[in-house]
Amino acid sequence: MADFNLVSELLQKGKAKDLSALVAGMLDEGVSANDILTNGLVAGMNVVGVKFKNNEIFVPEVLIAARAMNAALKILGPVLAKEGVEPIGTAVICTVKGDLHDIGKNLVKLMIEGVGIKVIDLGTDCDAEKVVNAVKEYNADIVCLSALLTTTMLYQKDIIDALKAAGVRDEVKVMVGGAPVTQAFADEIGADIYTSDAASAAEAAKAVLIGA
Amino acid sequence: MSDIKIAINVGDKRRYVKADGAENLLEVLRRNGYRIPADCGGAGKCGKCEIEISRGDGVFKKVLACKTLAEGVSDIRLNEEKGSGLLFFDTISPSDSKEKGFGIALDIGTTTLAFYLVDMFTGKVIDTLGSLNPQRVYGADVLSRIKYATEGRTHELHALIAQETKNVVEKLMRNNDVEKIKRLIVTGNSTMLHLFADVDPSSMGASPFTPVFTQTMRYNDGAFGIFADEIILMPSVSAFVGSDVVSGGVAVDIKGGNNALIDMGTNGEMLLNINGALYCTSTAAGPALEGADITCGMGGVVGAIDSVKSAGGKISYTTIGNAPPRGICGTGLVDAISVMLDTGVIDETGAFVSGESFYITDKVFVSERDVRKFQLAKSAISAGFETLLNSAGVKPEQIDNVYISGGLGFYLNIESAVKTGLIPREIRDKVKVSGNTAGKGAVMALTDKVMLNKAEDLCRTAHVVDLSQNSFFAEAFISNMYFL
Repeated sequence: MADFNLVSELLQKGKAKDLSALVAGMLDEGVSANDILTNGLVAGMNVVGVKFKNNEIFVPEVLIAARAMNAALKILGPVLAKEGVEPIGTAVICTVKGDLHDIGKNLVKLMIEGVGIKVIDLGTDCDAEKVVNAVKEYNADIVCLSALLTTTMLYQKDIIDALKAAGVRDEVKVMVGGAPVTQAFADEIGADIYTSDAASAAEAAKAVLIGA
Repeated sequence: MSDIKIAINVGDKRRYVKADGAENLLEVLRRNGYRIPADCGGAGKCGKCEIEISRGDGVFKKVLACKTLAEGVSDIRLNEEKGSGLLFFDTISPSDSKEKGFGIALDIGTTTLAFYLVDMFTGKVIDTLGSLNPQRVYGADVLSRIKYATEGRTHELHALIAQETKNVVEKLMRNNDVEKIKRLIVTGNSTMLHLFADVDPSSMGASPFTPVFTQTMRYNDGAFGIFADEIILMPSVSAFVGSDVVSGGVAVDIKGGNNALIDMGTNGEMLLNINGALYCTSTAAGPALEGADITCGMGGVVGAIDSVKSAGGKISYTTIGNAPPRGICGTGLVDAISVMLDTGVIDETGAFVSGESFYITDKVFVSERDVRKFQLAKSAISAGFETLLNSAGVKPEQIDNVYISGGLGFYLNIESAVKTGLIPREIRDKVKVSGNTAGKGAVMALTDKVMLNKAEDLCRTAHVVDLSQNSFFAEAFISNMYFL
């Protein structure tokens, strides 16, 4: 019997090395990569997400858990691809132009991948044209825009405008986030979804795709 | 919309101001010259602009000024607070010039201003004055100032700092019977200097963070309405490695050995000289080390708890000015967390073993959230320093001296700093706590022209290590998060 609880626990504690070893061992034993992802890693990150929302844990623990998840995903990734698990949708994610902060963006990416969404990561300091092109190229369902600076958050609107101008605005849901972003700001710039943390972002993204 | 009359009560003084019903109270108060802190820039997040209001019924309740409209408000009650500044270092600078007269060195911090009146002939600091940066009503951090500037309000921010400088300069002259200021030397981070010079800092608000100027700037007689024959702005390296760090580097003679300088504040700015090669970086620590964004946090002013100790199960503390404790500043926070680790209140991950807060007094406490904010800050500083060493290809053992400066610098307890992981254990015996090196460097530059040349030389030769895309830093930042 594969011990998914242990996977989840090691993830929550952020024990990257132990977790990687455990995941590699489970794969050797023939446990399905998708099961490890869903029942172990994602389950663990969900606990992390809920605890974070309830103020039981804080950013440091989330970051450490995320590092462990990344380490495990490096091992799982190639096997997942072989198992041919179909993603439930595609998201394009970036930190907007002028902004180099990627901690929040990477967390959201991780959580969104965890719920089975394929993520195209455009990195930081990303201009509108790049987002529009990626939306077209990958036929994306969701666009996730991160901004940590009050000086760069307005660029989220520029990207939404560019999506409109390119005629693809209605084909995607736009999610915005980042420390200075609020629901009111999201409404003001015409974004579809705002969430205050990465776990909620993943839930919202999943709801959009399954509802659609 | 009609004009509303509001009574503003401070202590037993009362004054009436007019307001528009649709204005929020933060705007009303600022317009009337009140310096209400709003670390988040009026976004309703930080809670620092809390005031008491009454709606005509004599019953006062607490509200956030930034989120309350003036409509229907009859009275506002405020506690006025004034800063005492952080102005401490050895007060003699080498004077080769033997120039007669008086000069003033000014260190513009994002929060605090430090003025030093210097007898240029002897090189002696004869008086100091501290005050709060009046721009702080536009947000606690550099970025919120830049945000206002991008809205075309550079001149407004400039006017605030120019007026404050003029006032304090005149006060120093009056108090010391000085008739003439020959030279005013100004240092500070790049944004503060841009605003002082009335130059729009917007380009430093977003990548690639390009300053309009980094070179030494000189202004003549009466510039900005300030009473000084000559005003000199010290040179800087980049948007993030400002003239304050450069000035600090000159003050500690960074080039005199394999030396490092760490300026601890909202940004941890660092210089490292290894065999004549100079490396520098800046790491975003957040305002926790300056007492902002901490539940009971406050700047290093009178009434702030600045040290905490535990002996035999009893907690003791000191406050700045021996005043009744009103909150906790950066050094107090470092000590408190060290005590919390020692006494098992929190574990090595930063989680509370029992309880939710650590009470230093009945009213001043450190919450779990505060501990987490501190962890992010200390990890940013220590990871930044490790990355700087890594980029220069040196080990901590190879360094001769590590100077710690900044508002936090003077009172920092090194044991606590090591215990909490703010500074690496390997450099403990090399640490020299150096107070305000930026101010000291500016004082030295007032009387010794060589110092300004040295500052320019530092700027010319510095290699900037960019942490934002640095994978070594990203890994170190996570690795240093816990208290291991």
